[in-house]
Parts: sequence; C-alpha cells; structure tokens
Amino acid sequence: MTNIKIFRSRKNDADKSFSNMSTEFKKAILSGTGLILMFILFALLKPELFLAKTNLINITQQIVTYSILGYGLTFCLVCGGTDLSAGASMALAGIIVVKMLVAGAPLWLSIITALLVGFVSGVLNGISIEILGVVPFIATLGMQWVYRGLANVLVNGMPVYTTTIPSAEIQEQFYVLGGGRLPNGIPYSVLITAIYGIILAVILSKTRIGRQIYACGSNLEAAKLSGINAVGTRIFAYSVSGFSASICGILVASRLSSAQPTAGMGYEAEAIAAAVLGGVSNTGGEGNILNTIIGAMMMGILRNGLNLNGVSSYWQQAIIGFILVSACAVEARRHRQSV
Amino acid sequence: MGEELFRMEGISKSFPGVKALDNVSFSVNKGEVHGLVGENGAGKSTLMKIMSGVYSCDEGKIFIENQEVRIDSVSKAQQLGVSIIFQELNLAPHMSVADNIFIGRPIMKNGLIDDRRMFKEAQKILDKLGIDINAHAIVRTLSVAQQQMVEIAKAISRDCRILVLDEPTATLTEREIDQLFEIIRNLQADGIGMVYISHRMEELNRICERASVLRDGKYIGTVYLKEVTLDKLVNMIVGRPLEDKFPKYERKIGDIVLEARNIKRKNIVNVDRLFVRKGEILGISGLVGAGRTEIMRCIFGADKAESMEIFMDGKPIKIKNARQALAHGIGYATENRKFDGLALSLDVQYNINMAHLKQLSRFGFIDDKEGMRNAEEYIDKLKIKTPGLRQKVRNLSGGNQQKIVLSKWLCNDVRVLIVDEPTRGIDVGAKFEVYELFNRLSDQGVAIIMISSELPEILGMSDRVLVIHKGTINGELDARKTTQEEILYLAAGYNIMEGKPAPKLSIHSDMEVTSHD
Repeated sequence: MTNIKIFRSRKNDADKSFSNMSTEFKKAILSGTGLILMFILFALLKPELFLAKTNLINITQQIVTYSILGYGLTFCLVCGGTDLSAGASMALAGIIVVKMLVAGAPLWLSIITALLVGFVSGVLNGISIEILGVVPFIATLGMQWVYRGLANVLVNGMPVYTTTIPSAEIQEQFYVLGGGRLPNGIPYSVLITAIYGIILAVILSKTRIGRQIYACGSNLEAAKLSGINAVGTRIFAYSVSGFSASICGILVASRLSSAQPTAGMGYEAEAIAAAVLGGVSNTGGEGNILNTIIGAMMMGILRNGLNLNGVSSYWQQAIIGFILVSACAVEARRHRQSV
Repeated sequence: MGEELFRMEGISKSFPGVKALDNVSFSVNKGEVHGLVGENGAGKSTLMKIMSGVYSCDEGKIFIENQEVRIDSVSKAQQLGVSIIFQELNLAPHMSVADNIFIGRPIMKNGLIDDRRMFKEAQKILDKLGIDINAHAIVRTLSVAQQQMVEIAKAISRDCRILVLDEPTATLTEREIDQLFEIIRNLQADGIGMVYISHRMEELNRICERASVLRDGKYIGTVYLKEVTLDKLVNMIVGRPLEDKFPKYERKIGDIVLEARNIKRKNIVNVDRLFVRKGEILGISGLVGAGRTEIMRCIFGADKAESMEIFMDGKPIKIKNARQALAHGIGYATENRKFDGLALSLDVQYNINMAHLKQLSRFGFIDDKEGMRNAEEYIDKLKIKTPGLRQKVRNLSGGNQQKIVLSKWLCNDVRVLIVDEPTRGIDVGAKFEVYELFNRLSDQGVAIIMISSELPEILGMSDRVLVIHKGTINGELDARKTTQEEILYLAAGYNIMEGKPAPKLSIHSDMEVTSHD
C-alpha cells in the first residue's frame, strides 16, 4: 500500500519537469551550461594553447584550490554564515606542515598536525560566532588576521622551502601529494579533491548534520524551535571550512615546494565567488557540493582563458568581480520573484 | 457624505495556491471613515496592499477622483496621496520624531539638513493634529500608541488624502483609543478619506458610517452600520451560522499531563500555575501583546525563564531548550509560520521531517526512504495539497503550510501540542480541517494548548479558557459557559480596575466528559 503511494508521488514529481526540479540542480544545469560555453569560447580563441595538455593540467590545479576551499565555504554559506579566514587558515596549515618536516618530524605527524590546526581554526571561528555572538563576517575577518599573523610569527614572515627538509626521501614523498601524477597524467591532488568532495557531498545531503545545516541556513529560528542543536551544527560547518582550508594549504605547499605566510591571500573571496557562481545561495539554505565544483571550474577556466588571451591580471580582477555581482543579482531577482 | 474620493473596481489577485481576491470593488468618499471587515484571510490586507502599491493586482482598475490611476509602487501610491499604517509600524526607532516624519525628504538648506526648521515643521504638524508629542523625542522611547500617531503625522505630512489604518487599536488601551479617534475625526474634518480595518464591532460603530465586507476574497456588500444588526453583519462576515464553523465533538478528559508553576520572565511573564489535561483543549485568550506567546515560549524552552517549575505526569522535569521540550513530548507550532515555523526555501519532505531527524537517522545517516514515507503519511493524513514531496513550501498556500507545521510536530508523537494562532491566514475550508484534526488528536489523548486571538475559535474549540492580561492569568473560564464579552472584559483587565478578582474554575467531575453540540 505505502509502496504504491510512494511510487505515485515520484511519478507526479517527474511530471512537473523543470519547474519543479530542486533549485540547486536547476542552477547546476544553468552554470554547467555557462561552463561549457566558456570552455568552447576559449578553445576557439586559442586552440593550441588552451587545449594543450600542460595547460589543462595547469587549470585543474587551479580548480583544486578553488574547489577545496569552496567546499568548506559551501558548508558555511549553506548554514547561513561565511568564512573570510579560509585563506589565512590555508597559509597557517602550509607553514605548520613544512616547518614540522624541516624540524625532522615524520610526514604523517606533520600532516595530521596541520589538519588539526585547520580544524581547530574552524572551531574557533564557530565559537566566536556562536558562543561569543560576533557576526560571521566580523568574526572570521578578525580571525583571518589572527591566523595570518600566527603564520607570519612562526616563520618570521619568510617563506620556508622544502629543500631544507633533512631527509631527501621525505622531501620527495611530500612533493608527490600536491605535485605527483598518475601514469595517465592526472594529478593526485585532483583525485584527492574528487574523493573529499564526494565525502562532503554525502555528509551534506545524506546525514543528519547535513540536514541540520540546511535547516539552520534556511530558517534559524524554525530550526532551533524544531529541537535542532543550532550552535553545534554551525560550529561543525565552520570546522569543515577550517579543515578544508588546511587540506588546501598542504597541497599548495607540496606543489610549490615551499610554504609562504602570504599564501592564499584573498583566496577566500575567490572561493566564495566560485560557490556563488555555481549556485550556492549567499543567503543560506540552498546549494550543494556539485554547485561549488562547477563554480570552481568556471573560475579556473575563466582565469586561465583570460591569461592566455593576454588580459592583464588587473582587468581579470575587474571582470571576475563584475561576473560575481551579476550572478548574485540574477539570484536576488529570482528570490524576489518567488517570495 | 462628501463626493467619491477613491474607487477600486473588479480587483483580482492570486498567489501561488490561493486566489486572494476575486473581482472585489470598493470605494471611499471624502471625509469618510470606511470600515473594512472580514475574517482573517478574507483578503482585507491584500486589498489594502494593492491600494498602497505593495502588491500589484492581476486584474482591475483604480480611480482617484474619477481619474484612472496605475499604482505600481509604494512611492507612486504616496505621490497619489495614499498611505497605509500597518500593525507593524515602520519607524526608525533610534531617530527623533521629526526625523521620522520627514524621513526620505528632509528639509534642506544649502545642501545640508535644516534641523531647526524641520523640528518646527514637525511640531506644527503634530500640534495641528492634536497629537501631544515632542518632535525632539526619540521614537524608541514612545509608547506604541504614540508611535502610531507619529506614523499618522508622517502620512499627513506627505499630503496624504487617503489613509488606511490596519487594526490600529489592536494594542491600544481604551484611553489611547479615544485619543486616536479624536485625531481621526480631525482628519475627517479636513476631507481625508480613511479605510479602517478592525475586528471590533463596537469600534466600527463608533467611528464608521459605512462598512464593506469581504469573505474568502470576495466582495460581499457594503452596509450602513446604523441600519444593520450585529447578527446580520456577523452573518455576512462569516457566511454561515457560527455553530457550523466548528466540528461537533465529544471529549474525554483525563489526568493532568503538563503542569507549570511559578513562571517568571522579566516583567513580561508572571504565571503562578498553569496545567493541561490529557485530551483537553486549553484555549489561551488575551489581547495581542499580553504575553500569551511569551508564556508558551518559556514552557517550551525557547526563552529562558527566570524561574519555572515544570511537571510532566506529576513528575518534575527540566526544560532548558527546545530539544529537551521535544524529548518530553511537547511540540510548539509557532504563531508566525514564515518567521520561525518553516524553512521556506526547503521542500515539503524536509520541513515535515525537520523535528524528526533524530528518529530518522542511523549512525548519523538519514534514512531517506523512511523520511519520504513519513512525509507521505502526513500529507495523506492531513490532506496536504502539494504537487510533490520536493515542492518548496514557499509555493504552498497558507493552509497547507500550516498543516506542514503541524505535521512536523505530530510525527513525533507529541503528548502536549502548543499551537499559536493555528488558523491565522488560512481559508475557511482549511480551518475546518485543522479543527477536525485537533479533535482527532484530543481523541487520541493529546493535550492541546491553543493560543488564539479569534474569540469564536476559542469558544468553539476549547474546553477551558485562560485569559491572559499583562503576562498573568486573569481568569479561568469554562468555554461552554462563557461569552466573548466576558473574555474581552477580562482580557482588557477591567475586573482589576473595578477591584474584582479573576474568575477561577473548581474542577468538577462533570468536566471530565464534555460535549459540544
């Protein structure tokens, strides 16, 4: 009996076609189309350069950074917050892992410590927002300086190079993480991004905490009154962001064979842009990992394509900013119409 | 009566899932205070929002002094001299009265704001209207009634010719109402046409000559209040005899399930003892702002009470937050679905399961199939009309949204269900279904605490009624024996002025089985 009912309703859902599809999915299709068009445009403009294998790998490496930071920001944005400290947490994690390796610590310990630091930085963001009551924008802006400052303090403002790691073997092992590739040329980091993305997508859509994140972002009051532990849920979202930032920091330090205290400066803004371009709502309650990946690809391809076509980095900034505001304006319009 | 000032013809307006207005016509003369009456959800507010440019109508024409006009924005409406004063006031609380009156178009001199002239002008307007407020006062420090008068002054300063007052007296005291009426009469003498929305019949009789009735989005008629009996008017508003609006039922009332003692929160809540029994519907009445919702929020753990003792089945329990309340089997369907009841951007299935996540998850993972099944079950049980489980609740009608709020709690097998204005903004048919649902729940032994501003609903549905006045219980009544007048008398606190005690019920054995028919 019940089975029949479920079947019937699913069929009804299917009948509703595009208009009744989940908003996230609709947006993913929209931004996905934009992505493909952008790809074709750049491929036509500079076929030899843009489609060259080295260039495509170059793009994917850029996308890896945007994606992993973007994952964390997706959690924050969906639960109605934001994380401006992601770029700084990323630099701090990079410094810690390389510093520890230079000091002779084993690879696994250094990585776990860096990840832990990232996680804790997220928890601290969450605490300052949820328990101390600072608004997310200001709290994470302030914590950005705290983490960036700590990163600078640890290395006295100077980069640390992996060539100073005592053991050549560990040097090589560490490099493989971010710079190594599979026999077919796909970087390991792409694999890590994909696997991590799948894990987070499952958490967001299939677990209790994931549902709570959506509920908090969509209507915090209603979520609290529904017996949801809003404080814990939101702290979790920030900790995912901090953790993601530290993964990103380790991969970038590995690929560049050095950790810079200035690494990831402004990346949080680009990761937010990627998430929002892909269809994550900047007002909370809507968006998923797929949206963010598509947005990250758009950002990566856009940057690379503009580079290849000789557009100066200053103009790139202006163009990306313009696209971001336009994308948000389109979303705001849709929101107004549906209310 | 003067000549016609304003006319709306054939106005229709639809929202997703509801036809809010269907071919409604309405007119106001110069210097007239025209009553607009109808039940909640009859379309009064929608009509007035169209008049003042908040919404645009799907069909229909609007005329001012026989000239057809297009009102497509609030600023356009203001240019045409139409202003509306909502129940929720639109003032900047940190600014002065004068700043608020001239907000958006301050008086300038050499490119700077001319404060001195602005205060003088503001004071002139206030004095002319007979409003005794200093233009320098900060709005935050004024009473609600005074703030309302500032709103009126603001409208008048914009050369308003048509003023809409949406339930202006809902939160005012008797003396403040007198002052407001005096101001309204001054405006009348200046030839300003007013629309007066109110539920209170005696007020309409005092201030209006004519009233128009809306029901279920349709125009029912316009009457001269002196020529019509109250019964006739109520009949026009309700559309059927009152008795038929509430399903017949018989209740079996058991032992006390939930009891709260000594609830105190700031100076808002001060309740000695409150209890509800198994299978009972406890009506909570009182004026808006009397503290009804605040008491329930304390019991549910949504607000922190300074002191409170709670007993479930006679055993003391602790409720510090909504999670604990839920764990003890208490549910709370809030007053404002959009503000704290629903996650509008999420779908039906998500919302129904929102308070049910713990039961649906195993090792942290949500059992989607079970969630879908649960949502299906309640869509079926409560006859929720939705195109699918994945429909965003934003796109559903008020009645269906309300049912989703209720299912959110019902799927947790609550023993005590607190419902706050459960039928606000939903149509008559949906109301009846909600009442039937409450009866079924009480049959199953659920205790229901129902806060409501609609007296017929309180009388028609509850067994016992508590009247709240200034955060305390000012009367406990038997719903079968009391009247609307008695409840209003207690709600306004007149018994206190007259030095009479609040009535109390002694629980007789004949209360155990009650039957309304």
